[in-house]
Amino acid sequence: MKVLHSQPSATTCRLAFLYSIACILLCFCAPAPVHAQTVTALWQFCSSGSGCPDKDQPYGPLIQGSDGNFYGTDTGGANNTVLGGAVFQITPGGALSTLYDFGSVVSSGACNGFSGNDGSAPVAGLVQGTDGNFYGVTSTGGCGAGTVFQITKAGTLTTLHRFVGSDGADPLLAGGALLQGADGSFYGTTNLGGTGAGSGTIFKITSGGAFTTIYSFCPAGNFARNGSGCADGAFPYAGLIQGTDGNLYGTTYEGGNLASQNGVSAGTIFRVTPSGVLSTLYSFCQGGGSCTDGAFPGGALVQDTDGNFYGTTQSGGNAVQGGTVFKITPGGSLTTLYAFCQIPVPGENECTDGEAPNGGLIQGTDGNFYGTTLDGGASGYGTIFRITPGGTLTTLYSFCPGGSCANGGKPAVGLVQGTDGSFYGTATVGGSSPVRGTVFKLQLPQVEPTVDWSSPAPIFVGAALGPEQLNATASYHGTPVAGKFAYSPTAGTVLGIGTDQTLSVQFTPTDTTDYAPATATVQITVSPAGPTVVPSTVISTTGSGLTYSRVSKTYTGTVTITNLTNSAIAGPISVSFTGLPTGVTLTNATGTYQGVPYITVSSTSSLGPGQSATVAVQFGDPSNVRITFTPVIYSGSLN
Amino acid sequence: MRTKLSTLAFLVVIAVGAASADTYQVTVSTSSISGEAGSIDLQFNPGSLVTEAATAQIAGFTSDGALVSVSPNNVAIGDVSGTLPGSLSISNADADNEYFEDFDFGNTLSFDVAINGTTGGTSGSVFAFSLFSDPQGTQPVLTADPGGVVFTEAFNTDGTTTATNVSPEAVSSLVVPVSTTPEPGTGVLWAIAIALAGSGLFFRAKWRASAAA
Repeated sequence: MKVLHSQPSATTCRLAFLYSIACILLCFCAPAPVHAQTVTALWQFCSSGSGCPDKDQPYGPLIQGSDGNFYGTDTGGANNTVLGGAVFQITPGGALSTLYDFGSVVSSGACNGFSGNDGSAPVAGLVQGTDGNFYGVTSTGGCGAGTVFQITKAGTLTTLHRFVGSDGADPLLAGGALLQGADGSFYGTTNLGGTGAGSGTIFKITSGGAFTTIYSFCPAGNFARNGSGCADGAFPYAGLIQGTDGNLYGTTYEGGNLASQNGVSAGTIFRVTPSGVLSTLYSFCQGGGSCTDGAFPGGALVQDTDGNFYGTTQSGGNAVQGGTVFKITPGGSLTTLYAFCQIPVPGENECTDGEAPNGGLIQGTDGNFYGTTLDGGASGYGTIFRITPGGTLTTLYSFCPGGSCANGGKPAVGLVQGTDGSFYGTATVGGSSPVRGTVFKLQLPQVEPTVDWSSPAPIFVGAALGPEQLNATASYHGTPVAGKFAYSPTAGTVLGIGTDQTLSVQFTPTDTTDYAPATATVQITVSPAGPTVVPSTVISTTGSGLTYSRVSKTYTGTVTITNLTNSAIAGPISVSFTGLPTGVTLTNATGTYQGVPYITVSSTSSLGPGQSATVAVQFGDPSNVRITFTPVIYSGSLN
Repeated sequence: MRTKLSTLAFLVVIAVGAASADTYQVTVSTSSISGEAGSIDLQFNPGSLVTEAATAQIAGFTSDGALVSVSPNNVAIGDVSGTLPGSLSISNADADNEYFEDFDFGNTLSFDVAINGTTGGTSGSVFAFSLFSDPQGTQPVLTADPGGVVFTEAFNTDGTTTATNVSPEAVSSLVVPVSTTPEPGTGVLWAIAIALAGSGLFFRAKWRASAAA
């Protein structure tokens, strides 16, 4: 039996709220059939023995460790007790092991003698530090206001810090985890506490436990919901990310510039320097009483490669208040990409496209964003969705399809994409019992990569196909996809003369789980003959004198070639003007070949025995240097 | 234009000489532009391949027009010696070997040109004569050639020359060689002709004497 220390009331309320959702749903749910998706429960909590030795109710996201396994937290207590929680490891195959049980011992150190002073109720997930250890927070326990801890892969836990209130309290980091900054320190937020109005903090802590509160929200100390408010935000619910500019970005669940918020303290998006200088980028609920721009952001941000930030709000968006997905520039210009509950269920206030996206977003390897909603969907147990950077939303999965919640339901946090391309997450209910939760895996249907293959340049008859022609690549939304390319005709094939001959390729991806085979075709032209240098013993080249034009400032004349042999020389025939003096240009050149200008003398026909062909030449010679060149005669097209 | 071109006339008169190369007497009718202040250009340039040394000799320049001997436009470029209306010698030593002078056109002008040089090489050389209606030499006249050329004489690698009237209306009837380098067979024929002519005179004189007697 765990002894819980006194909790700040707001935290207790929030956790109770989450529990209440689950409890209400037990009575409420009348799930409608949904389309089958490739979602499987890797683990159903409280299913491995009596008394829930694995604990239950995961509210934090997973991370994939450097060893390929996934790591996470849950919040339930063993033997159906309330709170406590654990740190667990689960393999991609679904074998779960508990690394550490919180509140299971009475620890030494600060607040010695308090049961659970090693922490309790880790709502957040973990982050793997560069030292290989995992770092996390508990929302309660310690000295009653939560902890920061380090845990090794072997399960040895070290409590790095115990919050006492003035330095922050209740580090929820909902839907996220601590952030390890570029400086190696860890950064996070607390939902409560601090030196202001107790409206939360931003803190920094080293792996050695050196703790610094770098910012306390609402320093004026006058927060009152829907009242005077905290212009800089209040009650940060989520974690931080570090932008490409080195600053930290996050959200507060409440607060903001009330003067512009229609009286609704709907939360903010902020930027804070690592040293603690905070700037409010945006205050939600600018769009009137229904907060069409969203309200109450509960998840962390994610920064796209374009530099913009993407996130979610739990509420607002439209009259149904289903929440939003938004984009905001580093300068603070916000765009609502999607407002949930565009498809309400008549009479049920449920939304088949999802409702209340609590957990923030992740960006998949395909460039799209993925997230979950706590509510809504076909059965009201939440969804998994994909949204493009442009705002096109696709519901990938609705939990509790067909009335069965074997895969879980009510996902409170976001997803993680495994190295296998599948998405992994946690659900707070469902599994073996409606209130226990699961670890689930979402495997998307195979996608067909794009095979990029440009039509190769024409080749001459006799040339074998090789890497210069057979050079297709495969990608998916710009990300290279590994695999094998089978060409037809194969490399080494010598094609006959002809235009627009088809080359095809069959691409077989290495990752056949996520990618489907793909094909592509291109055309190639095989010209009659390649250029060959005609020996000077075979053909003679003579030239006329050059006349200088005072009008065009050019020299004009002719060059004549003569076939000295008894055999025809195949056309096209060209004269290459090698070794022209510096500054002299062949102004009527047909083109250049290997960097040397040339004129095609006979474009199509051959030059018969003894035949001659004459071509006009025109030189630019601004310096009036003596014009000379060495003629090289080619048989075959130089194009 | 056709009217102008029709007034262009080259008169090349046979004048048997002892020169080792062709000599052309070039006569140009300029009556259609008489009174205009223009310019003339004479040049002799090598080709762009291997070119043996050669020289163009211009002599006998006559005209009822007037050379403008003092003008900032007048220029001699490259290997040029002499001054019109005296003889000019233009060698093909440089890329551009050119004599340019302002000229007030009259009704006609005429000159002789002969080219001597070494045979061989892979490029010939070319003499070109051009007319312009402006003193700066930018407005071709009496020709369709964009560079103003009205006459060329190519010195070929085998030592022969090729004269060309660049104006198509005039070239066939008005350009003929005024002298040729006797080839061995031709020399024999000339000897026979002279002998026949001499014998004819002899027999004519003898016949006249006989008739008088």
